[in-house]
Order: sequence, then structure tokens, then C-alpha cells
Amino acid sequence: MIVTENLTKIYRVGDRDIEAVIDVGLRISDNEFVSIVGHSGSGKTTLLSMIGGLTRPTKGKVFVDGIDIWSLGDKELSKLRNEKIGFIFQFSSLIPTLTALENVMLPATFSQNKKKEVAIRAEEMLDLVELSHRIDSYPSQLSGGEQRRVAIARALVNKPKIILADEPTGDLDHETEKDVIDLFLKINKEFNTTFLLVTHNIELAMKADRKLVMDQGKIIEDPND
Amino acid sequence: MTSVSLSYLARRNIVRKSFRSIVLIFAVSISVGVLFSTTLMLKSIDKGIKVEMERLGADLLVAPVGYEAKARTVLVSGEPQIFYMGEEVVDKIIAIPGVVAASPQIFMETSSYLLCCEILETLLVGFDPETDFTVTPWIESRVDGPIDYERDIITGGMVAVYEGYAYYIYGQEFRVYARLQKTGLNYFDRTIFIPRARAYKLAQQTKERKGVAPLKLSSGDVSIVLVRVSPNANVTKIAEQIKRDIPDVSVLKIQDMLANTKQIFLKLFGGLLVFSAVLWVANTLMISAIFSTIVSERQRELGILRAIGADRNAVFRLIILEAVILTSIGGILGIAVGSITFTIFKSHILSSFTMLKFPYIWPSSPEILAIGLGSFLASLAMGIIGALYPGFISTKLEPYFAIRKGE
Ligand SMILES: Nc1ncnc2c1ncn2[C@@H]1O[C@H](COP(=O)(O)OP(=O)(O)O)[C@@H](O)[C@H]1O
Ligand SMILES: [Mg+2]
Repeated sequence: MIVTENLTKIYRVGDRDIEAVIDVGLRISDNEFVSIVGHSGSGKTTLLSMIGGLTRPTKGKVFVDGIDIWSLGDKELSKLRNEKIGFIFQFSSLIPTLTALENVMLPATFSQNKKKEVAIRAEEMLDLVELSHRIDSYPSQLSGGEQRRVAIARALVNKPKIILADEPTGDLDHETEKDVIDLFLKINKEFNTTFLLVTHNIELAMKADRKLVMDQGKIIEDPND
Repeated sequence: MTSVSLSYLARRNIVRKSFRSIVLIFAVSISVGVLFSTTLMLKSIDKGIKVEMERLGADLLVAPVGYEAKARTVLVSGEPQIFYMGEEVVDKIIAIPGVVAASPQIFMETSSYLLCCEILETLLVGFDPETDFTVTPWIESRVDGPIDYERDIITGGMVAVYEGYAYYIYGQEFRVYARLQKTGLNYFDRTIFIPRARAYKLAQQTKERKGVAPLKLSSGDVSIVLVRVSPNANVTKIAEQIKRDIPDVSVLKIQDMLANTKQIFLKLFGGLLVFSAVLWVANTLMISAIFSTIVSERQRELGILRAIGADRNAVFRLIILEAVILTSIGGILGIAVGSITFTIFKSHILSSFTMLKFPYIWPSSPEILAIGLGSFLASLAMGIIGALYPGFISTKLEPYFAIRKGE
């Protein structure tokens, strides 16, 4: 369960304030698949980043399973990111010096989880994204779609309750894009993972349980309101 | 591979920028290698000086005026030098208040031609068993019974003879009465000590015998007098008084003489120590600069690690670890190259020390190990201190900003 209250982010650029996200109140239930659409610059990435513990809100609160995440210290917040949240970014986010398998195992580096279990699970996740045959490839040897699938496997490896995906298919061709979204839906059903997906593709956004529209820092359309 | 450790991540990064890494390792290895080698030499001279002090057990050295440098040469590097003064000096010195003991030594030629000595590269020194305090206290093993002034000699720890054996000097037979403890110093280890009266007689015999190079020594000659003063006496004052009371002698304070040796060493090699210190600082700054670049180059990667769950501490450790791996490889390399160079050129280095008249004792294995460890710590410190600020900066990045850098 994710709850936000008056979530606001103001960037200060020189002597100008940019209100990226303004007073957003959201409720996302466990297991829900929520999509967010909106123009570029409407605040989607900023919103996701505040929910995922990557940037501190100027105002307001984020609760994940009842925990006010921005009241946590760096250690606890990092642990929460590690265990409860999986990120999928809009660009390739793999570490170039590590193989596909090593990239997927990386979350275990920062957790107390049993390393061996994670190694096994990493292979399972690569299997799930149909990349078992490329586990020893480096990111530079993989196509954009393959890299994205490795990133998805990495986001899943610690069995997070929440996946935050920020335009994960933006740079992929139509066919691959559809495959990725189908994979998300499958994961959402199989692992009961909550999804918060930002996308430009309305057609894909429609596949979600609920579609939000953002504009100028505000949520202007929410079926639940 | 069942997990990706922080150190694995760091090592992969090092390999990624292999040229930069090699340059850094090379720079560190030079500064640590120089530090290690110079410290090793300094230590060996320090040890030499300490043992020399202890073995001489004297506060002052009295030599004929103008010969103090030569006297020093004999004691410090074990090189024979021939000069004499009259023995009445000894009684005059003893008479000075505050002087506790005064014992003469007589340096004799050891011309390797003709019948001098069975073993080459030894020093022949007459000593006075009655007043001696530098030779007999250091006996390691001897034959039973008292010393026989007529035929006994005492040999240094490196003279290859055994007590009880016969030894021929200028055709005369002697008995090895005792052997001294080994010190590592030429003067003590390679000397054959003959009781004074017998030394005069030996000199006379060389003059009478044909086919033998005659010794310059005449009865009653002494080369130097070693003087010990009472613990509460003022050494400087007594030295001045000896100079005032006795004509034609010069007085050296043993402590000054040896401290002087260290000064000379530092003049010759201190530059290397300064050089390695300067390099250390330069390398630390270089590491700081390189790692600042690394942190900004890798901002996005660091941000991704944070998103995956790395806390500030882990990111900081990663940066420090990468620097420390590089500098410790450099350190180990420098120490290894230093050690190998020393092993190969040990005899050259030692003989140049002898030429430069440094007393030296090669450090023991634990001491070499300790110096190696110290040098290694210096290399670690380079990495830690150099990466401290960039590491700190890396923890200040908010993951979101780090990730969006270069978007
Ligand atoms: N780091 C930043 N500094 C200043 N302004 C920013 C920063 N990040 C985003 N913004 C601004 O905040 C607004 C929302 O950006 P963003 O959250 O990226 O929107 P979206 O993801 O919907 O395109 C935009 O006007 C953008 O220019
Ligand atoms: Mg965005």
C-alpha cells in the first residue's frame, strides 16, 4: 500500500522556483497496476522518485506499508529501497563492468539476504525475461530491449512489493514494448507485485487497472476520485 | 560467482580504466619504493651507530692532532690507518678528574703482501688488557684459563678461526684465546687484537727478520686512547681540559662523531626521503583529483547503486576501496622492487657504505618486515586520504540527481 499526502516538490533553479509536483494525494493498493500518463515535464519522474525514496519531497509525506519513508534515516531508507522497491528506469541502468547475471545479483550486494539464494533467483529472473542464454554477456553486447529485460530481472530479484517503472519502453520498438508490458502484467499477477508505470503509450496505459493523468505537477484524472 | 562484492565492483572499475590505473600504480610504487629503500638504509646506519656506541663504551676518543678523521675511519669502517703518539698521553688523561678509564689502542699495518696475516682483510690492533673496556667485555667464547700476554690474541666474530687454534702473524705463532661476539661492524668483527706489549715485540721482530715488511710501530707508541668519563661528569668540559692539558692531541666526542655520520648520510640520502615525501603528497593529491573525476564520471552509476539499495556508507566504502586497492598494489610493487634491488645490489650498497665510512648493520628480517609494513601503510594511507574527499562528495549526491546527470 502506497499513500501520499500533499506531496510537493519545488526545484530551485537560480532564483526561480519550479513546481514539479504539487500537492499530490494518492492511494495505491497492494497488487494494483497503476499507469501514469502526461506531457513531458508534467512531474511524473519527480513523483515516482519521491515515492521510491530517491529525492526528498519539499513538502508532504509518502507512506509505504504505513511507514513514513522520508522520516527514515539513510540506512533504513536504503534498506527499504533494496527490499521493497524495484526501479526500472527510462534509460539503460545496467553497470557496464558487470555481466547480465552480475547486474541482476547486484541488489544482494547491499542486503543481508542469503547470497546463494539470490544467485539462484537471479538466474530464475533471467529465465523469466528469457535471457538465460545471455547471462555472461556485458550490457554493451546486449540490444536495448535485452538490456531493459536485464534491468527488469534486477528489479525483481529481491521480490519487491512495488515496482516503479519510469517510461521503461520509451526507447524500444513497438513489438518489444508490448512484450515488456505483457511481462509486467504477468509479474503483477504471478508475484502480486504493485506496479506504478509511467508511459507515453496510451494504448499500453489502458491495460492497467487504473490510469492516472498528470499535468503541470498535478494529477488531473484519477478514476478513484 | 555467487555474489558481487564491493571489492569486486571496485576491481572491475580499476580494470575498466586500465591505463589510468597503471599510471597511478606506477606513481605510488615509485614513492613507496624510495621510502622503503631509504628507510632501510637509514635503519642499517642507525643500528650500526648504536652498536658502535655500545661496543666502544667510551665517551671520548683521543688521537694525535690532525689524525682524528683517520681514527674515525678505523673505528667506523674498519679500514687500517697508521699513526702514533707517545704512551705518556694515557697517564695524563687518567690523571684528569672525572676520567674513569682510559685505554690505548694501537693500529698496525696489515699489508697483505709477505707474511702478515693468514686471513686477508683483517685489522691488526694492539690493546691494553690492563685498562681495556672495549674488547674483553665482549668475549663470546674463549679457552679455559687466563690470557697469556706472550702468545694470545683475541679475534673478532667474523675472523674465521676457532679459539685454541694457532694463528700466524708476520711469521710468529699465536694462539686464538677468545672470539668476540659478532656485531656486523667491520672494526669489531674483522680485527685481531694483540696484547700491547706483545704488539711492540712483534714490531721489533719484523724489523729484525728478513723477508718481512717491517712495522712502523715502536715501543711506547699508541694510536688512540678511548676515554670513559664518570656518569655525572661533563663530557665537553673534560674534552676541553684534555686538549688544554695535553699538547698535540685532538679529542673527539664519540657521540658527536657518530651523530656526524648520520648527518652525512642524511645529507647524501636525505634528499631521497624528502623526494619520497613530496611524491607521497603529490600522489595523494593526484588520487584526490582522479577520484573526484571518477565520482563525477560515475555519478549515474552511483545513483543507480543507491536506487538498488546501497546506503551512503556503501558508496563511500566503494570509492575508498577502489583507491586503496590501487595504492596497495602500487605499495606492494614498490616494496617488492625495492627488496629485489637491495638483494641484487646488497654488496654494492654495503661496499659504498664502507667507502663512505658509514657504520652499518643490515637490519634483521623482522626489522625489514616492519619497515616494509610501514611503507605499505604509507601506501594505504595515500589511498584512504586521497579518496576521502571524493568519497565524501559521492555520499552527498541525492540518488535522483545523480541518476538524471547526463540525461
Ligand atoms: N533536477 C532538476 N532541477 C530543476 N528542475 C527539474 C529537475 N528535474 C526536473 N525538473 C523540472 O521539473 C519538472 C518536472 O520534471 P519531471 O519530473 O522530469 O517530469 P516528467 O517526468 O513528467 O517529464 C520539469 O519542469 C523539469 O524541468
Ligand atoms: Mg520523466
